Amino acid sequence: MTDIIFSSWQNERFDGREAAATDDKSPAKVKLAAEFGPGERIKAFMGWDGIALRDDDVDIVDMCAKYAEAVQGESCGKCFPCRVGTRIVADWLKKIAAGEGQKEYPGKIRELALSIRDGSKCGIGQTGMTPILHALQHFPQAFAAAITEQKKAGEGNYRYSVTAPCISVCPSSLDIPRYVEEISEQRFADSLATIRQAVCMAGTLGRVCIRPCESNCRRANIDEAVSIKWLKRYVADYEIEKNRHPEISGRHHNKESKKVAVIGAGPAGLSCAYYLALMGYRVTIFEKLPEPGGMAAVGIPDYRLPRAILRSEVAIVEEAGVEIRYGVEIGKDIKFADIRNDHDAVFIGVGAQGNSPMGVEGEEKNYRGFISGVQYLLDINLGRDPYPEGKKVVVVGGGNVAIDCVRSSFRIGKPDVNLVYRRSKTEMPADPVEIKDAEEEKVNFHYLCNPTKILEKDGKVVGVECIRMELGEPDQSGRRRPVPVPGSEFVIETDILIPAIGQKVDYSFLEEADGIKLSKWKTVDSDGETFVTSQAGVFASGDCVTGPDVLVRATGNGKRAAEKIDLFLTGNKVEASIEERFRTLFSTIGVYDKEEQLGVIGGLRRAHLPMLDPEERKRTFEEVEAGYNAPAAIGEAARCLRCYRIGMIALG
Amino acid sequence: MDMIRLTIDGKEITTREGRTILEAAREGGIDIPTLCYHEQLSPIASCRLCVVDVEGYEKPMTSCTTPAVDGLSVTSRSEGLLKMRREILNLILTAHPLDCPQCDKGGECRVQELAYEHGIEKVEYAALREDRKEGYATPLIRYWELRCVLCGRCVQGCREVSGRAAIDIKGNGFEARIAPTENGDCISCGECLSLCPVGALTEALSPVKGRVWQSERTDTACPHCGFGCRLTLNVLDGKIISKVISETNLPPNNTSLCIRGRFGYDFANHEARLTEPFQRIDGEIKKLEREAALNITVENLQRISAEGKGIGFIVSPRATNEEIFLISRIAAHFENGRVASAAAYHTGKVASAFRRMGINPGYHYETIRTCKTIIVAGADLLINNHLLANKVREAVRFNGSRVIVVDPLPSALSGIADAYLKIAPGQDALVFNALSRRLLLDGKYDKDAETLEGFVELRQSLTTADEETPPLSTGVEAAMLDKAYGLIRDEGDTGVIFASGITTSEESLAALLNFCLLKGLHKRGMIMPAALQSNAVGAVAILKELASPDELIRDSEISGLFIYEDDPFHYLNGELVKKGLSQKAFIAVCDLLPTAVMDFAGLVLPSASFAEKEGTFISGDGSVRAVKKACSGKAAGYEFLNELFSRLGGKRYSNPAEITDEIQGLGLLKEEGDAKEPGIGKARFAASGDILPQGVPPNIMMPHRVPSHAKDAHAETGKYRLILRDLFMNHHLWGHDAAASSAKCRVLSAEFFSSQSSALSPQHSVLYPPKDRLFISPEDAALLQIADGESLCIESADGAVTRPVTIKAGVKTGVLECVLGDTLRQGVPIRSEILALSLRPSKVIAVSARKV
Repeated sequence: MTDIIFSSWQNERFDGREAAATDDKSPAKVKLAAEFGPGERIKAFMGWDGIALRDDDVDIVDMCAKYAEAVQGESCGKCFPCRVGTRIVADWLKKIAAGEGQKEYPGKIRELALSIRDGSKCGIGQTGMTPILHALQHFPQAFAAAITEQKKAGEGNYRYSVTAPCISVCPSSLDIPRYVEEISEQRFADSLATIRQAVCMAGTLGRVCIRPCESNCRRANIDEAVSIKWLKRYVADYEIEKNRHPEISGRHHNKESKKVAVIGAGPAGLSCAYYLALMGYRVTIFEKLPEPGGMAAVGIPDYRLPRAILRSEVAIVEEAGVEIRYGVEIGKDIKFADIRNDHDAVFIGVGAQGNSPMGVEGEEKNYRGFISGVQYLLDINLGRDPYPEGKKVVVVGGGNVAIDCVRSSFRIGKPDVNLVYRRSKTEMPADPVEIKDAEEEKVNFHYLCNPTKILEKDGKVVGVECIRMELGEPDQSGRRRPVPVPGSEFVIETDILIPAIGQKVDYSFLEEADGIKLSKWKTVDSDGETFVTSQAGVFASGDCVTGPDVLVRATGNGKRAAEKIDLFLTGNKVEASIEERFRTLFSTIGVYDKEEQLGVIGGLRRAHLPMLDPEERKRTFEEVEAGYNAPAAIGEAARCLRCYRIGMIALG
Repeated sequence: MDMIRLTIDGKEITTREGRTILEAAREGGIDIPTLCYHEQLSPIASCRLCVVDVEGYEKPMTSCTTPAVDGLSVTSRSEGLLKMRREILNLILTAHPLDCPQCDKGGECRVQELAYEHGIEKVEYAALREDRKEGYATPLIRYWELRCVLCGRCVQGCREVSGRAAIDIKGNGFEARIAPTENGDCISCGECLSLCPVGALTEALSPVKGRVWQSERTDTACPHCGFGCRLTLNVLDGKIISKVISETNLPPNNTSLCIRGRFGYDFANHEARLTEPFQRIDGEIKKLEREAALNITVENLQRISAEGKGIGFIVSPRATNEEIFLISRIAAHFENGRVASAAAYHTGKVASAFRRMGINPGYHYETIRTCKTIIVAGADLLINNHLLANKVREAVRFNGSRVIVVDPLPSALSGIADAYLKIAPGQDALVFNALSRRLLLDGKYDKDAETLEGFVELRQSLTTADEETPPLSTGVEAAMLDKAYGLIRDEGDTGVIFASGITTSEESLAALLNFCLLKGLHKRGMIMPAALQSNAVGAVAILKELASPDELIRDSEISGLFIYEDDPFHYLNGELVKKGLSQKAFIAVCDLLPTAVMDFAGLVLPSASFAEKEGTFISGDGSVRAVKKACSGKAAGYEFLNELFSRLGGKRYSNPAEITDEIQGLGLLKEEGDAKEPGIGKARFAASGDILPQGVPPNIMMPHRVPSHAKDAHAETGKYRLILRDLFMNHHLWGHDAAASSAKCRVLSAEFFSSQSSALSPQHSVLYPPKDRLFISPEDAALLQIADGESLCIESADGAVTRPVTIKAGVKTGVLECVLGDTLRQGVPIRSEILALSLRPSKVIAVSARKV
């Protein structure tokens, strides 16, 4: 990044051309990738926070004119300053670039651009004038020369894309401001259709998404982040509540001859299958369990994600034309090689449902009462008590699966529920909201201790020996590494011991001859951009590639994989799309600034969901949170600041 | 709610928490300029003119969206803000033509006012917008796309008030404009029209345009349905109604009207209007002076009375209270005088049921908004009482209310219903009995109900074990009934709105009202019958012994008939009417336009349109609405009645207000509060005191009865229930536009509404033939092997007709839907032959159907 010669990013001027002699460290604030695609050099960037130049042959006047044109083209027309003002600015800049500018133009542009910046309704107008104002400030001579010399600007090669802080971190690339705005405009069905363009599991994600978007919400800079997740749930529920048949739009029928097999009906597989079906492919999902949803079905209890919701979303996938074959285990019922032979492409989305060992004495002995977290939840979700005789429960781990295990234990009538975690509460990877809920429901948390030995009697678990831990130096993950305190062993009596310290990929469905390579973490090795595995025509994404990860990444990558499979099946080069490249580019630059002062009042706290009382809810699998009603959803959606912004690159 | 204090421009303002800065400023009398803001809509925030500065914050912000927070110090006027506003106005005018001299809105245009106030003398910028002359969603409204400033009010109003999505902003940036959406969702309610702050939307109906300084404006009441909208007539030269507008300060409808209220007024100035009385002697028409007409009337009525025969009066439920009162007095003058009105068919039935059961009628429309769950039963609010549908939507939007629709046909609200109970026609009783039964079994009913007469019997009959819930014959899915029950089971007010779909059957009405009493809705909640005609409630209040028109027509004892502004051919079986009328010795008809019944009249008298009358209506909520004279010309009908009454020895009133006072003195219209002027007050229809006979216990449960046709109507192939729509439509609206090429009148028919589900675009739908249309479900069409447009022969106990059918998804199996139309016969509207299928005015007729 040291090759940036000029930057005005976030109002900090850096001019490498003048400073080069005195300072060899680049203080340029902007982190601009060198290349867009292979061999495509990025010469300059214009965006919401200013300008960055890598080459000095970029015609700043021309780029400003094109940027203004892009802003006008993206203006939604819903406020006057942006709709009309940016058109005037774009016209003037175009004239200057065409060598027809007049002397007073730069001054007038500046004046009008300031009005647009301060007067516009949303991010397009509020940020769209920033690089132009910067250019007028830092390159006045370029404009003056273009006007006095009446010279035509050199036309460059530009590309632009629209993003927003929330969109930029959404692994499923949901157009969040749009669907939120549609809710504020009471267009609930339209909003759901917008969501479905990116994910086919709106009701699921609306309940269990870890919502990176909300951590990147600019509304938090003035009061609280918009409740993006609950809004998503509102429109998904709306369709069901109003008894509407799910609407599937954008369906094509042109590629029906090609067949794709999807292994695993989890979030990645469902998503991949859904979008392939919309493109017109014949898709069959092979699912081992009698139930769809993968980890979403197995690992998420009913009180967070009612089964009916998950089933209705799977019904939408089927409605799109996907066939799901349940109870078919690859490697057992059908060989992977046969599936490959019968289909034009195969997508592996088997997830990570294998159990990671704790490395504790006795864990391989199959004692009664020793049950893996995933198995425990699966049994409960299928309506069984995994071990009816057991009353006391100890769960080991700090992730969402561990929390789901303890909370579900209450709901199947276990009176004494404990959680053992080797670090402290602050390091726990589980969703803080869920930790709070579990605390309210009176789970006994044992922080800073780790199991060392399973205690048994007659082949049944009777307790677990643990050792106290203390936090040492930070490890690779940035969290402080827990270190055992010698001699601090103690025993927790229990009937059930549940390891929930992480899952691994069960790749036993593959045979060596299949030739699918695994990574060094024993996950399926697939390319991060193209999802291609070591075998042609075989693609993979989801937890089986990443290891245990969040649902919204599985759905996002499932859809992206579908697009790559389409490229493959239509004989195109399988590569990252323009939008994906922009996404990478923008995420390096950073679309959200936590420190930004917005200069306006907030004063509207987010609307919260009504919840069941902890003592009542811990005994039932009924959904804990009730959704929004219409006024709450509309009011919440109206809090969105619609922080769209445009980034443009000059290539060459 | 907590109070907060803030200062705006140095003035301290106390307001409720949750207000915006703009609302707080307006409460405090501080004027912040706005263009897109409208009090009836959620903030749009497109114009950015309402920007203010807040101390401690760097950026200006829009006061319409920024909450008023305790302790804020706000500046609404400063050099900087003024500059921003001027800049915005400059931008608006850049994209807005200065065709003010020829613009309809000239003189009352918001942009004009703002430009004037801000001293904008010239436009700074230039950019050319091409007029693409794009069509609007409806031919009744013209869109001047260059005048449009894209404030977004019309789009917001369409969604938020009308619950449609007929228009949207299409295109980006400078090229954005308002365009119809693909779903063809427009119902021509004109909400968009009334919200437009500039002249971008104008009604395309009236050939003459009256501008603010050219026309006189009169606030009056809408003559079409019984909701009681208040509207303002723009009148040119004291004669021609050029435009109907509705304003924010006129509740209960504020800016809203429906298609009929806003556009359905050309009958008032129609060329076919009757001007003079005439006599028909042996088929010859002889014009008369009013004096002669009076003499003939008095002579005939007195002669018939002297012969000991009865005299019947049929009065329109759209006549004013004062006219109805005069008729009741005239009738009382004769020993055998009887009065009938079509109000008897719905509102009259409701009133007598309420009376029997001790339920007080009359609820403010605002009550709807307080209900947690609203049940809409047998009421297609899109066709009648459109504003009532808007009120329900408002409750959903602002209160999060849930909606249950009970109707055999998809209706205005079934699309947003949380539970849509698509019952077999006439089987409503089974649904309400099933809900009541569950309340009883779960002990979730109002315990006070146990003290009511009839409770024990009702419980006994409803909770007997052999009853299915839901009864299979209702045609309702069990899961949907469960869902509906879940919505009404628990605490929280439930409201019930119902109309002729319920009153068409005694069992349905009794079952519904029993359910209401079990839930205790007469104490908390709402039992609201929709009023179908503009003064149906008034007619029922004033006419104590109200007969139904068919009764008087059939009654051979009645020899003289005086028909006031009504046409029984419009809603009754034609043969029955013809036969009845031919037996009368004397028939006088008073109406403003030619009607079918006039062919049988010996004497025809001209009447006046609502715009020429003074008087009152009582609307569905029991409020008195003032009908004001807006056009010159005589209230001929009223004057005739007044004169007739005095000739018969009654009082001669000097003006209608004198009658209003007399009615009030009798306690028939009860005023509430300090509101003296009718129309503004919250006067209540004096129901309980007057209708409820003394000594009757306040609430009685009706005995539980299972509908006689509680079998599945569709069990036998070819057996159908025919549902008639638009039965009580204002006959003045029908077909008077003689030029068949002009479809403007016909657009007011319900055919327009039903067209939304067909593939036709709105532009086509107004060109529908003015005949009635018959709809059948795709399933039944397949069963009968009939294709779209082929003819179906439908037969009832009383008659048979053959009609082409249209296949329509959404129609329930076993149901035929008929939207009644009319045809013109020598300039006179003739209602469809479908009415021949039933000897009684009925919304549901049992028929058999076969392909011809």
